[in-house]
Amino acid sequence: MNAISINPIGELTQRKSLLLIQAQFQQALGQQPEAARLFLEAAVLEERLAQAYQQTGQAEDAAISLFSAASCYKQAARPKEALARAEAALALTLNEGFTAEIRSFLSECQRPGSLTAQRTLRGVVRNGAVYPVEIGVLTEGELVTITTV
Amino acid sequence: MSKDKPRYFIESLREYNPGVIWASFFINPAIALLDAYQRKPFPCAIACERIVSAALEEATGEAQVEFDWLPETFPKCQRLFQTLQREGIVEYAAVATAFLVLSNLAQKNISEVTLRGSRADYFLEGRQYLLEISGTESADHFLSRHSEKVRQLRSNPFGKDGFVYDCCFSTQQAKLTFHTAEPA
Repeated sequence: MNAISINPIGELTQRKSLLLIQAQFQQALGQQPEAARLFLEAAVLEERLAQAYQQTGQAEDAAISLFSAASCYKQAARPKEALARAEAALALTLNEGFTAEIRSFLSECQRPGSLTAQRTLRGVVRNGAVYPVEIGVLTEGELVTITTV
Repeated sequence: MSKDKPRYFIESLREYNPGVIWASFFINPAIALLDAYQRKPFPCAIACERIVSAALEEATGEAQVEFDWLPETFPKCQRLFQTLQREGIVEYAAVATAFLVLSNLAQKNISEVTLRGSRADYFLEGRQYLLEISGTESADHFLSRHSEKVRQLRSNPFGKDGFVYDCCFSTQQAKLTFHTAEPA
């Protein structure tokens, strides 16, 4: 059998980065349900990325991914998962500054109502004209665009 | 003279970052914004600190560059302003020009976006460096914003070194600086 070169970290990194960009864009348009769906997908990939980093002994990188997963869950208003991933990140990192940041995040998540505020600034209609905006991803995965239609 | 300036095509974001599929996302907003200024190519003076590049003028430490694009890439680009607030387009355009400038002047390529709370962190060269980006159309707070971004970058919780890029589109100027992280 021929050996196939696979870089799971590289592939996961690009896929979740794309989802994060798309999620933030939908959030900015005020499309919160779609944003939440994308944040959840990104969170799952960040967790897989964290696992991959742990398997290669890169604990600090695993912690960064887990904290990003926690942040994604928070954006998707999933507090239980957000807290669990942030605590997992806290258990992994030895970095004092990062520890402080995660603790601050945990305190914020535990405040009542902290998971409902979302940024919904940028979808606008001007001069009576609305041009729908699309995010395009071609099937070969090479092109991602914002475009007017 | 203008023809001597390095010209960075917005579409080349794809070539500089071939495996980074999401880089293309920023191309059209950048074209829409630069096109709105009706200056094609769009000139930009980039002040650099702690950046080593042959493109920098010795006396000033600046790079005079031009951003350009192909008209057919996004023919109806001005329609984007009917759908997205200008502030968002400026933000995305700043990201696009930051990636182009980093690739060309600092030979560093983008690799990843992560989330930290509600903010996005851009990583370069694997997770070796962080990148702080801001874009504006107002010259008033250009330098103070840069200082604020430098403070944010230096105190990043990961203890990573990185770059700060600010762009003021109305004055066609940008600033790119490199910083080490503050010791914990």
